[in-house]
Amino acid sequence: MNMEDQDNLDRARLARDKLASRLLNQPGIRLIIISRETGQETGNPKNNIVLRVYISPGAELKLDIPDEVDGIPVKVIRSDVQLQ
Amino acid sequence: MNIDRQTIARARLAIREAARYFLYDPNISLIDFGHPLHGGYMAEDEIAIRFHVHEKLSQVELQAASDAGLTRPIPPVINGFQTDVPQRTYHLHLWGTAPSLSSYSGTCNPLRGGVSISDIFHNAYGTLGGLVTDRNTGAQMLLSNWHVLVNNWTARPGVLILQPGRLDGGTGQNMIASLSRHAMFSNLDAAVAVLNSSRQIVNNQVGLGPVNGVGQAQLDMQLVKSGRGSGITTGRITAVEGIARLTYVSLQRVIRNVMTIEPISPIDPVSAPGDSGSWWLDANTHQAVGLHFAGSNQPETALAIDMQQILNALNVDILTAGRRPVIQAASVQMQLVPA
Repeated sequence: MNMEDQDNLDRARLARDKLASRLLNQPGIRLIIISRETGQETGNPKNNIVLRVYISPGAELKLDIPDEVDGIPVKVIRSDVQLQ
Repeated sequence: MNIDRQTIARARLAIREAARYFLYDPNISLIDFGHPLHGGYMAEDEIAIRFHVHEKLSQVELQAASDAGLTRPIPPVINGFQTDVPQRTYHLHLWGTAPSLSSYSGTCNPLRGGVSISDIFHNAYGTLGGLVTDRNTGAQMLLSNWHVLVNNWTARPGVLILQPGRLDGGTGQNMIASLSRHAMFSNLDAAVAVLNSSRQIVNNQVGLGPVNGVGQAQLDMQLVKSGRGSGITTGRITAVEGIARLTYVSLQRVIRNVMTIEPISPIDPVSAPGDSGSWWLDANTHQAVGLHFAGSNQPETALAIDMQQILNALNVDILTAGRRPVIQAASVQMQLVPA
């Protein structure tokens, strides 16, 4: 991993923790995780690190999920995650 | 025709529902999801749950067979999908064999990764992940999830573990291990049980072979696993270093060091209930990188916990392939020697 990737990952960790402290106690929030998507999806060809927030189908959230945290895009995924 | 992932996920659920009621009908050779036939021509702008039958029956024949209890009519719609009934018979092309269901659900001796287990109290099954050794004592242990081996906030060490799991018919005659410790208080859904002397355990995953130590999960890494719920499946790591919040025995718990694994092909499953405890291996090196614990159908995704974090929290190791523990008769200390 090069220096830029490592910097982006470090930033993503901080953003993840910030988002988790804000959202994780909300009913319906299942997972906050660091992913990588193409520049085409993020609109930024250089920084393709994104945060994914998995929420239960039909969950109504009291807090809005931001579009980005400290420059890291946030993507929301509706998912029926359960123990297997 | 472009089919979105949500539709594929719904179709997968519809197939499972259909299989539950129809797969053991002797006239049905296959149930799948595809384009229906109209007048012998494939309707490529439509999709359907297809019940492939050896012989299409007339209405009179179908009624008679149904009245005799030999078959049942296929409904026109299942979970919102139209059904189609093509006449097809398939034959085995024997160039290799995949593990049968009984390889996972039956009694296994010696024990190996991928097979059914449960604790003695819960009528359930999960997966025996694999063989680990205690870093201090060298004792042989099996590693799986807390919610497979324990699933009880008041449980104590010594809880008995069965193979196969109770829901696969395991009874008190099938005790193989006893709970040693778990890592839930470190936010890791993992536990180890020390083996009794009833059966040996080998470093081998059903259908995959030996595990070659532990590896580091990385984005886009291709993985493979063998588990009680869905057998051998493959996937790709799509996200790492996640924090999950799920319900464990009525309590919401945070699980850390989570990775998501998505199927390489959009129509393939990546996991199913019963796979909890499976080890996700690097498809190239067969190093263990994650412990499966959860998943979703929509979208099709598996969740696993970073294996190195688990090994450190539980103070155990995975042997590398080709290396085996040697028990010195006069001592409980163990040393590793090349095979």
